[in-house]
Order: sequence, then C-alpha cells, then structure tokens
Amino acid sequence: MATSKCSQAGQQLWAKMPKVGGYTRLCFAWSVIGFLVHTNSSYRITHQANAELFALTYGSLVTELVRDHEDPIEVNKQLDKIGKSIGVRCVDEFLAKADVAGLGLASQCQSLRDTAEVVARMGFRMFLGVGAECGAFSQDQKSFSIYFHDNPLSTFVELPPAGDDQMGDDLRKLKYSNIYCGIIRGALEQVNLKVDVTLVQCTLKGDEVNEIRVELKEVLADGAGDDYKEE
Amino acid sequence: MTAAPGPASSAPPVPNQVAECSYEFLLSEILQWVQRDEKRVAEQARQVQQAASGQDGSPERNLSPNNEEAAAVMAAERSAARIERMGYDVGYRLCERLAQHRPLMGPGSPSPEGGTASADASGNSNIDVNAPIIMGGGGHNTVMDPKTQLEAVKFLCKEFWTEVFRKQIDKLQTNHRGVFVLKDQELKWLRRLPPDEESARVGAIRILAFPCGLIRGALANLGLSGAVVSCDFLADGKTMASCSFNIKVK
Repeated sequence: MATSKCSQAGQQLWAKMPKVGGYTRLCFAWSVIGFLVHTNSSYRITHQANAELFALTYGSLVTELVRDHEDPIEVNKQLDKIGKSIGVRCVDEFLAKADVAGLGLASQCQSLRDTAEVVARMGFRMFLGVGAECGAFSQDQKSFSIYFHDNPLSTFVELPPAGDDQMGDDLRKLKYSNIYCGIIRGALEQVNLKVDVTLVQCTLKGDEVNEIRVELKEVLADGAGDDYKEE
Repeated sequence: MTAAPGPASSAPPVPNQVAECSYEFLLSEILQWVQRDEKRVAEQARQVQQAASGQDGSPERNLSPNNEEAAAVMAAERSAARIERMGYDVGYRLCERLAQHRPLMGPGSPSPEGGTASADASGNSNIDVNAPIIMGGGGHNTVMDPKTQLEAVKFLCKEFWTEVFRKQIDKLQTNHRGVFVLKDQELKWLRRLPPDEESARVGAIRILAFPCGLIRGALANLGLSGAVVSCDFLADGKTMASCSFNIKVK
C-alpha cells in the first residue's frame, strides 16, 4: 500500500530527533504524547472506530488461522508475526501525532521503567482506549508486566471448554490476544529495543486480569553502522 | 470458538470505540496476510496436483506458462473468496448487534412465525413504529416483498454503513425487482491508493472483497439470504476511492 502521510511525517520527525540511544528517543516521543494525553482533549485527536467491528474482524482472522493451521502454536506464531507489522506502523503513527501536536522537547525518560510506563499508560490508551498499568519489575530492571482488565479484542469471544476430546484441549493452547505481543515487539524494535513479549494471563481463560510480560533482550545499535559514515 | 455475549461482571464496561488507525492497521495487515498466504495455498495445491499426476505413473513436468497463470488466477480468486468469507462473518454479526439497538422496520416485515407479511401488518395498525423489531430466523424462509427489501437495504446503507465507515452510502438505485446498486464516492479504505496504477486496481479489488462480504452478511441477517453481491471499482484518475456494489436478491 502507498506510504501514508503519517508514515512520512513519522520519518521526518525521526530524522529530526536528537541522535541518542534507543530509550531516550522512544521516551522523548512518548513523553511528549504523555503530556498531550494529560491535557485532556488529546485522546480525541484520533478518529474513532466501532470497537465491536474491531473485535469481530479480529475474530474472523483468528478463525481463519485456526481453520488453516491444525496446531495452535503455529497460530500463535502467525498472530505474533502479523502483530509485528502492525507494531511498526503504530510507532510511526505515535510519532506523527507528536509532530502534529508540535510540542518541543519534553523531559526524556532515563530507564526501562519509564518506557514501560509510557507503553502501558499512553500506548494502550491511544490505540485501544483502555487503561493499562505496568508493574512487576524484575530485580535487574530488565523486565516488566503490563496489566489491563478490558480487552477490546475479546468481546463476544468464548474459548471452547477443555473437554476430553483433543480439539478442545488443543484450543486451550491458543493465545487469543497474541497479536498484542507482536505489536509491542514490533514497536519497541523500531526504537532499538529488542524484547521478548509473552501473554501470561488472559481473561478468556479465566484469569482475573490480562497480563503481558516484556523482557528486554538487548539495546540495538543505533543507526546504520560504521559503513555509512556521513560525508 | 463461538460468538457469545460476555458474562456480566463488575469490571468497567469495555469501551465501545477504539482508535480508527488501529482498525485500519488491523485490516490492512489481514489483507497482506491473505496475500502472503496465497503462495502457501498455491504451493499446497501444486503439491497435491503433483502427487496425483505422480500416481498415474507418467511423470508430467509442470506444463506451460498457462498452468502457472491459471494457478496464479486461481490463487487470487481463492484469496478474494477468503476475504469475502471473513467479511460475511463480520457483517452478519455486526448487523445483528446493530439491529438490536435500532428500530429496524415498520409494519410489513416478516414476523418470526413466518406467514404472509402484509396480512399481519394490516391487522397491527396500532403497533409502535419505533419499537425495535428483531429480524429472527423466520425471515430466511419467507420471501420479502420489495418494499421491505428496500427497507432492509436502506438500513444497510444508513446505519450499518455509518458504523463501519462513518458515513452513509452516497447513492442507492433500485429497480424495485430485487436489484440494487450502491455507490460510494469515497470509500475510506481506498483513499490512499496511488492514482492511475495497475497494481492499485488489483489492490482495490482485493480490498473491496471485504465490504462485499460485509454487505452479504448484513443482508443475510436482515432476512435477504442468498443475495449475490459484486463490486465495481469506479476510479477515474481524480478520485481513486469511488466504487459501487451491485446486489441481486433472489
């Protein structure tokens, strides 16, 4: 599809941003958005779509995937892959909104903890309209969890109960909302944070809250490398 | 997986709107996934074909370019059918949700018990026109009169289309005998296609399969099952986003 205007704006903003490491770049952008979100009208700068339509469309995608692939693990992988491409576009959109708002350099965040706050508070609110929180930071501050109660993707969905027959049991291994993992992974990779994301708890399976665990693997090097020194 | 309403809980209700960009991203990724999957499906089909020809004992090499082309066309058709099927599911369920909350039709609509529509209607002159009338399963077996068909299609053009695209259908034409043409001058999803390119046309046809499915699903839910829906891409270089949908009801 043609490059959207948002994507171009995002790239322009990307070029303008100070050449610092991955965290700070992301956190700069998202803290800018944070400022936006806190000044109340910002969330309404996006147009809205019907959440039921959203849930139903995702449901038909998962249905097709389950129909094609016998193994639910394979379905999880496919959802993750699809989510990754969406994540890349989400980051563009996010940065473009920062550009539109025309805010100057806000305070930069210094650590993974700040990134986590931003992903949970701003990201989920902006794209899905749900409130999420981060928590359960590990000792070495390299992993965290995102908790949220409402999952717009799982309206109208019921997983078949784990019965004696093989079909029911297999489908319990399906991670219905696995696309979130892909989205977060794709988005953070664009800002040079390589992460492992897994869906740990899911309300569809009877847990109280949805939990996504994010672990930082490494901070990727910025830029294209030494081969491309500026003339 | 069944579609069933979630159990009532003390948790705050799920918001009924998400950002529009989220939906657009999801949809475009779905279309791209179907496109990538075409290759996998075509490969499977070719393997099946080779296995079959191998059993005959005569090793046939993969024939002329004709075979390749035919396979490609078939793969494209399969993807379109798949997208349309997804649209059907979504349209059917969404229409059911929407029809619950709105008054659907006045007197003249088939009642769930079946029977002739007009006879029932004339007897119920005092029904509240604004009371929501749920189109149940009985609608599938009764033949709707043209007036009710038109009501159903109008619901589709107004409420349903507004929910999905945040605008109504621009032009509705009918011959009052079961053929309807819906024209939309600016379909949101087609707006970003580059003008005057062949690949854009192919892409547009693929994108349009989803609304075709939506329409077919919605009509099935409203009692017009068995409708045949096709779409035309009416780009004229100025605006790439105009298209029309032709509905033929049995």
